Amino acid sequence: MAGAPGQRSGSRARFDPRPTVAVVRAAVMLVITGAMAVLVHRIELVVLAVPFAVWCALAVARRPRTVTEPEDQLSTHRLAVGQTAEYRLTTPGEDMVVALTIPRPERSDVEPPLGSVVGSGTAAVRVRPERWGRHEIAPAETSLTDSWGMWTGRWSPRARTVNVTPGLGTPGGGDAIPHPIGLVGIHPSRVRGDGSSLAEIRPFVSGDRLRRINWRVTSRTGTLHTNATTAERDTEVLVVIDTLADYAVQQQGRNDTGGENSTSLDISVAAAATIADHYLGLGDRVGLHDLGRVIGSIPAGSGSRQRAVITDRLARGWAERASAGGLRRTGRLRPGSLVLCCTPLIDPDVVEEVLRLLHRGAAVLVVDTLPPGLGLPEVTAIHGTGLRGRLDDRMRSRRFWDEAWAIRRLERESVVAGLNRLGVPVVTWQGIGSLAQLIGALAANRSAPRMARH
Amino acid sequence: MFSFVEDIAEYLERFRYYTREQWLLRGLIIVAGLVALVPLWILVPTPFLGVPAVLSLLVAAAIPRGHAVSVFCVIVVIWAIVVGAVGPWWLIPVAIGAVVVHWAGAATAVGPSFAPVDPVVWRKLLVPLVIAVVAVVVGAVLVALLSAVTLPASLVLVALAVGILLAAAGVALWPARPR
Repeated sequence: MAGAPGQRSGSRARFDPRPTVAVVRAAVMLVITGAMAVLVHRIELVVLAVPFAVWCALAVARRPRTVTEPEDQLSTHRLAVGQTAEYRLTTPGEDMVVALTIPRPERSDVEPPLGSVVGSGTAAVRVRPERWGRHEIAPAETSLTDSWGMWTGRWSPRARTVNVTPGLGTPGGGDAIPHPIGLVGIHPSRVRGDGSSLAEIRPFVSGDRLRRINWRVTSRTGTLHTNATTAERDTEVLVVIDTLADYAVQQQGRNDTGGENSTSLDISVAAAATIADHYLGLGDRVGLHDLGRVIGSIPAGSGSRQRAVITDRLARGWAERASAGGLRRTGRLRPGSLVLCCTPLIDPDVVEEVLRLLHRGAAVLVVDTLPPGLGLPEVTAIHGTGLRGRLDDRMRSRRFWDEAWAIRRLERESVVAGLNRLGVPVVTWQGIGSLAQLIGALAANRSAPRMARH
Repeated sequence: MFSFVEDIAEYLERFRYYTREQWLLRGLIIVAGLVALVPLWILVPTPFLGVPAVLSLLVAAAIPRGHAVSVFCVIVVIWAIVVGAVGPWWLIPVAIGAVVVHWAGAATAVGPSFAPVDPVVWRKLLVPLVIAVVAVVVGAVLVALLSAVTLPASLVLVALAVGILLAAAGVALWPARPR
């Protein structure tokens, strides 16, 4: 199956050794010098012919008798952003010179810097993906040369794919949930029940457990009092990723650390991975829904297996598929679920989908993943100074791109304000810690009267 | 016009990425080429051959992978013919210079010009050069011995030797049939 992780794709040419240019030159020189020696009756010209005759003789003696197919291997097929995979080409014997070249894959770094290395018997190039998702490592046609430089052949190594998992944010960020809806878990529920969190101390009634009697209050008041606790529940968290478009500050120097050079898709995926990891760690059921076609959707589940499924799916994502196709609506959703929508809030269809989720009874929180440097006033300033700088600024392509983004960002502010009025908080992604306070506030206000929604 | 300038700029940009070994090999081509040309210039200082030889040497240093080196070697042979009968000893530096240029041109083609090369590769590549240089000295001694013998049939012997060498070259050039 071409394209699957660890699988090989592409066809390869058969290794067919041929004489090198040096051997051909030696033969030509031998013929010319020998012929001239005969024609002009000059035996001393043999001195010029001898080294080339020896060269030809060595070439004949070292002619490969068997086909030595090299082996190509990749050290790993799955790694995290920043980790390195090594592509190694090895010949069966040490008597071959291997020239391996791997053109720098998109969104990756290679070592040696130009992706090419020459070794005796073996050659290795290291690839370090700088972005999550599926990457194809496609070596260029490789030359295999006899170690004395007499025979050479071309050979096409197979392309390999590696899946790169997105980097996770720092752990932490609280465990508050607006509407715990499950049966068991760690989030305190609105209703009283068995649990460990103290809700109140109330007079003992028939049916209360004896071990919950608060003896200190009982002795002080003279009547039996008992500790009432809140039930502990889990919840269902749905992480919605907007992969309908990928907005970038600049095309080069991308990374998915959430910095200024990240794209909206990078930030969305990093946020989704961190959020899913956080709530799975708390024991909640976490599902993932892709509004586009980059990652695909994952039904809700819990535990380490679900964590592995989500991480694997994010690692297999094709970032190049962003902006391909329309919006895919979310499917079934339990009322009271916590929905975290990671989106740059540019597409009106996505805003409509957020409102739809809200009307279906979910506690919705929007994680703003528009790159922080996109359309900010300091970025839109003139790039150069002096006459030369102003001239360069006038000549550059997409001259008013930054200004256009600044206007678009201002237009987006009204959408954000509207969502806030409807009780949908919008928070810029700065790690899971930035969400904790907001979700805590949602949980604290869960019993407050709801605002009218239009 | 603009595209042409861009092409030249791109070509020059490539030189920035050459490894140290590539520059050394190109320097070696020039030095060895001059070593081959100096005795010939001393014997027959003719610009009709000297200028093309130097130009072809510079071209060979710039483009050592193809047959620019072959052109230089052919000019050296032609100049050696023009020189006339001078004895084999004068041709030893010429032959060594030519074979070093030949080797250095081959060595630059071992991989991409910007690729770092394992030092083991250079050590193994030196073996045929050493053998060829030794062969030059041995060949010169043999030629000196043969030229001392005056045999009417020497021409036939030379022709026979050349025929054998031609056959060997044919075998060398015949494409191998890997099993």
